[in-house]
Parts: sequence; C-alpha cells; structure tokens
Amino acid sequence: MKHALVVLLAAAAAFVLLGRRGERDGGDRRLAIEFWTYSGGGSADATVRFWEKVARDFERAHPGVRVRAVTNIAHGQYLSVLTTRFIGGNPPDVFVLDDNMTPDLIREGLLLPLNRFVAADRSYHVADFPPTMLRDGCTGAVRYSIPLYGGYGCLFYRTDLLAQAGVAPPRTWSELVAVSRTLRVKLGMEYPFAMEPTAAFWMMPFIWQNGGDILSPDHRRVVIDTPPVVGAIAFVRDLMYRYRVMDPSLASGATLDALWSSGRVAMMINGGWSIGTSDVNFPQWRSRWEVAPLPAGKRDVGFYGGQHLMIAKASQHPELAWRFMVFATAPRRQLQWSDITGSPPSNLRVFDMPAFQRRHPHFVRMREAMLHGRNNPLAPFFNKIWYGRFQSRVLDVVMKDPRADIAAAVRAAAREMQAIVDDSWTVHPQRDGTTGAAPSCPVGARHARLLHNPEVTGRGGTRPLPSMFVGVGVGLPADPRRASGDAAS
Amino acid sequence: MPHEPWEIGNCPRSRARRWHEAVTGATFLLPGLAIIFLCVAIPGALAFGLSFTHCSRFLSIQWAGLYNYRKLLADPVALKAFANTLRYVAVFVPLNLVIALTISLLLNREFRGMKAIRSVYFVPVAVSGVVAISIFRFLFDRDYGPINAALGTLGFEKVPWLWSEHWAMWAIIALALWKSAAFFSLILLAALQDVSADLQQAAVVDGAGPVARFLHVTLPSIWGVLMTVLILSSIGAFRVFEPMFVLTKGGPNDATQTIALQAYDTAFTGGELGYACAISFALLAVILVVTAAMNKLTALGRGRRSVAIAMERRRLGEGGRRA
Repeated sequence: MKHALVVLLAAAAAFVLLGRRGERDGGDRRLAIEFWTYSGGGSADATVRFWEKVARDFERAHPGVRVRAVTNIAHGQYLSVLTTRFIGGNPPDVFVLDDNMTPDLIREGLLLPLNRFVAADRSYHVADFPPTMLRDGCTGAVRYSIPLYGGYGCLFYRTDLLAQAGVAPPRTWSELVAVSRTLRVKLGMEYPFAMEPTAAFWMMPFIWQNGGDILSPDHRRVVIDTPPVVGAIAFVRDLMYRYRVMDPSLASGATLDALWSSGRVAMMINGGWSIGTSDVNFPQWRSRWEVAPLPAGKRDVGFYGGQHLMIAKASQHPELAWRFMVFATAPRRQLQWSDITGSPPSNLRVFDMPAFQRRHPHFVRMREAMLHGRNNPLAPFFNKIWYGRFQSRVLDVVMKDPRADIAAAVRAAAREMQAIVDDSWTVHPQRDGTTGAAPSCPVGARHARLLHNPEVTGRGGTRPLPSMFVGVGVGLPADPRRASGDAAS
Repeated sequence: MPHEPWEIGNCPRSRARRWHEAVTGATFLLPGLAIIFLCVAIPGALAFGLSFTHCSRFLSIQWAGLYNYRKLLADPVALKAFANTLRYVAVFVPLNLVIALTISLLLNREFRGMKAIRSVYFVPVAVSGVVAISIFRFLFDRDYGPINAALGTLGFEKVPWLWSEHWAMWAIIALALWKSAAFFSLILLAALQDVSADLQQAAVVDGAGPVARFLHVTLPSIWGVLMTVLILSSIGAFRVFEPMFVLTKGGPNDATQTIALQAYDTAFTGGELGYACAISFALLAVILVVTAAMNKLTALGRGRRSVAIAMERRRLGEGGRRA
C-alpha cells in the first residue's frame, strides 16, 4: 500500500512537472514579448479589447512572434505591480505608463533609450505626433518613450440651451462669465457652468492662461507665489461666489456628472476622455451637446498629456518591442483606438482619414488642443507637491470659504512645496535626469517652432511666436520619406 | 556494588523524558516561530534598517543616517498626521469602551428575544470593513445620504460630512464605533458572564445598589479584560487606515490624515520607502509607550481588584461566623 502510494505520488509529480514544462514552452517555439497596460478592469473594458486586438493583429502580421498582453491591472495598482517586476529583474518588454510616472523610471535607469530606433526606422515619423507629448518623452537628447494617448481639457456645452439663449460658446474668461449670466437670465438656470474647483489638475490651465506657472524651468523652485497664480485661483472662486455662475456645492462634494445629467448646467469643463462615452453615459443629451476649447485667459493654452509607450532596458527583444510600439501607434491602429475606446488618438495623421472625420467629429474639433496644449512639469516630486500640498493647502481651503485669503494660502503652500522640492534635490542631487535639461530630441521641423514657444512650453524658447497657430493647419504636407500607405501595419 | 541513590527527577529516565518533552514542544512551536521570524522579525529588522536610508520604490538605497527622523520632526504633514491620530485615539478609545461596556451590560440580562437581539447586534462584526465603509459613504453622502435627508426634514442644512474639515473625522469615528463596539462588547460580555454570582448576591444582600455593585464588584472582576480591550482598541486606533484611505484619502486639507495613511502615501505614492519606515517606527515607539502605560494601569487595577475581592470575602466570612 505504502509502495503504491509512493509510486502514485511520483507519477503525479512527474505529470505536473512535465505538464508545466510543456506549458512554459507551449509547444510554442515563437519569439515572445510581454506587453503591459492598465485598464478599468474586466475583459469588457474597451482598453482591454483594443490591446488584445492589437496583440492578435501583430502576431498575424509577424508570424513567429507571440505577444503576451497583460491588460487587466487596475490603474491604482499598476505602478506597484510594475515596480515589483522591475525589482525582480523581470519587467515586461514594452509597457504603457502615464507621463508623470516616468521620471522615477528614468532616474533609476530602467528605460531603454529609443533614439537609435527612431533614427533607423523609416516607418516611424515623430512629426506625426503632438509636440508636447514628443517633448515629454525626452530627457535632454535622449528619447525614452513615444506618445500613445493624450488627454486634454475641453468645454462641454449644451447646443440646444446656448441656441435658445442666443449665445455662442465662450472663448475667453470674460465671455464665460457673460455667457453664463445670459443663460441665467434668459433660461432661469441658477448655475449654468460647472467644473471641479478643488481639483488641482483643472487649476493648471487657468494658471497658465493667466501667465503663471508652477515650477521654474530647472524644477528647483516653486513659483506659485505670484499674482498670476493667485489671480487664476481667485477667478475660479469668483465664478462661485462673486459672479455666482457656478454652484458652490461643487467645492463640497457635488459631482459634475450629477449636474450635467440632471440638465442643471449648460456648460462644464471636463476631459476629452469623456467625449467618447458621453452619449453612453448621458443618452438624454445625444445630439444636443458639443465641445469647444477651454476659454482662454491672457494666454490661450490648455492641458495636454497622457500615456506613453516605452521599453524596459532589461528587455531581451528590444527590436521586437519597438516594432510593436510602432504597430500600435500607426494611423490605422489609432483609428481603432478611437473607435474602440472612445478616446482621442495621438497620431495626427488619423485626422486626415475620412473615416475618422466621419465617426469622431468632436475629436476633429479639438485637434488644436493637442497642438497647443502643454503638460505639467515631469518631475518625480510633482504629484506630491501639486496633488498633495497645493490641493489640500490651497484649493480645499479657499474654494469652500469665500473669505479665505488666497495669497496667504498660496504662500504657505509654496513654502511646504519648496521644502519637498529641496528635499528631493538633496536626496537625488545628480540623478534627477528629468529636470533642467531642455529636450533636444528631434521632433520634426513642423513642431520645432511650437516647441520653442515659451507660451506653450513655459520653458526654454528663443524665438517667441506671435501666434500659437502659425504653421499649423488641418492636414499635413506629404513627407517624401514616407512609403505609400501605412507601412507599419 | 551499590550505586548512589538517584535524586528525584535526576535519574537518566527522568532527564531523557524531559529532553524528549522539550524537543517535542520545540517541534510543535517551530512552525509558528518560523512564521513569526520570517514574517515579523526579519521584515521588521529590515524596515528598521531602511529607516536610516534613502530608499526608492525600486530599492535603490543610500545611507541617510538620522535624516529621515530629523525630516519627520520638521514635516508639517507628518506632524499633523500624528496630531490627528492622537485626537482620533483620545476620542475613539474611551467612546468605544463605554459603548461596548454598556451594550455588554445590557446584553448580559436574560429577557425574551435576547438571543435574537444578540445575533442582530453582532452583524457589524460580520460585515467586512470595505462593505461597512461603503455603507457609511452612502449614509454620509451630501446629496443623497439619509442622514442629510433626515436633517433636511428637520429643517437643518445639509452637512458636507466627508468634505468638511470639521466633520470628516467625526463621521469616520462614527463608522469605527459602529464596527468596533460590537466586537469588543462580545469580549466584555464573556467577561461579565464570568463574574462570580456569589459576590453579586452578597453585595445585594448587603444593600448595594446597581451602581455600587457595578463599581465594586463587576468592574474589579472584569478589570483585566477591560484593560485588554483598552489596549487592543488603542493599538487598533493608532493603526487606523482603512476608513481614511477609502472615504477621504486623508482630506479635506489633511483633516483625516493619520500616521498609518501617511506612511502608506509616503511609501507607495511618494516612493520614499526609507522615510515611510521611519514614520512607521515612530508610530511603533508611540504605541509602545502608550501600551506600557496601559499595562501599568492594568497592574494597578489588578492589585485593587485583589484587595477588593479579598476584603469582600473576609467580610462574608465574618458575616457567616456571626450568623
């Protein structure tokens, strides 16, 4: 009996081991790369469906290659899980990451420079992508990532209500107040406009538009203690308490979705990522809404930044990983990205496609936001100082209390933020490779002028342009280097 | 040739049995000790070492000496987190104890439907933490929550519970009490049921009222368990994390930022593992000091209990002899 038990256990162990060995190979001799991205969770998520399709299409286009796509990691846990793999020395070959998470990886030397791939690959054209995101993928002269998807802010408005009131969507701050007041008078709407006043994210474009900034170009000084920053915060607060065109309860927990859904607001500031799902979430307003660029202050600049694709330095198949990245960001794939996820594409060539223009007119209308948007400073400590200190010390306080001293709150927050910045520089004096060095990666002549506009980037720049839009128009000139069609797919 | 008489317990068979017993005992203890060593002692020692370094999320380490501890003393957010935590403990622990004791005293009586009420009452214990938090998130919702609806009905203004610097911590304390008092009342109920009925009856015979019986018989009898509940409740309160993490993320304006949440944010959001370890060990030091003080209190109480029971027993004895 005992003998039989031993034999049985040995057989079971052999079965498991051999079976696992077979599973590891899969009877599969294909070259394999591992791709990671985060999602909202569940296989029904649109992002998951997109990437699974990209992986299968890539395998069909590249026989002998297998793509193991890990697509169901929740955003909140993504960086932790990715970190664990890096620490274990087994990172994915290619992965998606938010731009504000990349400084840490660059600082640790975990990303593969992409300059040689960009230079050698004639099918990849940097000028096909928005300048801000191209710049964000660079540190000095080294490119570490390529753009995948960028988000921007826009003004959602109810076309029926504005038409009823006989007003056009506002293009400036003063027009925003005037249009809101008109809506209140003519339609009886108590608070016609909405945004998230306590969200530090949405304060950034207001600050930039008013001529202010957050950090010095070398990322060593916090520069929020200035009249333009205080003025921008005051304007947003005045929308609630002085002009009374925005509901003060938005500073105490009321949600944009609830107000928009109930029809109590005619205009709201929200992200371009909501465009694709608006008709699904708010079917009652189908065909009765539109988007416009954010109302401009002294400057006309909005937010633009998002996700990048990058290759781990430890990847065993960097060439293949690069091919996958180019495949995923090609125009045809980016059209699928918009079709499946409802999010705007990052490849500007997609905007020339009649199918894209027909299916996504809202994105076409917001193309300029991609071209003249700017991103927050990409410093390792940025989230801590902006979404931590600034949001809690300034916005959480002054937006709820119309009598709170904005200048004093900003001054106090600036001191705490500066302490965090100084601490970061003390701990990482030389290794913070994301700061100071103005990006000098090739971005294409078309975008070079935009990148040198300090009003767009807030840093560097030697030739200020009179207008953001010089040299930029719908449709791109033909590139003599390009092969016909979409070579990457 | 006669041999020396063996001393009791010193004969070879006795030593061999003791050795065998020791080895058997150690063998049974080994897995538990190994787990404690691997999962507590070693990580704890590593964390203590890390607290003296600058350690990024990718485990790149450089020696920092006392930098992190000096930074902690000058960090306004961390100091506010400590203050919030102490305030939370000072309010939650006594309330928790009083409510748990009151409920256990009420449940210690025999009445119709007692078992059903006990079962219903312990539902908070069975509900998971995240579910309880979700329930309270709805209760305290500014626009749709029943609490504000009730306040509106009574003519009061809506309170932005979780969005108010003043009310957010109170809302979380209410949640914590609902969850915690039921659990500790279970422990105190068991202790109450162990109180000697003879002492209670003797006190009744002597004319002691309910308050006097509680103060002089019940309380001393359950003092040890009460202090255990106090210590466990305090340790749990110092480490409070879940409600703040799920409901308020430490806001608004750090009003609900606690030291455990601060350590988590520092480690996993900020990527400063060394500093997070320093914060954690600072919290450990505070917990050790408070626990030591409570242990002292327990010892004093035990002495008092022994004296009280001894005096009562002597009196009963005298009364009996007189009778």
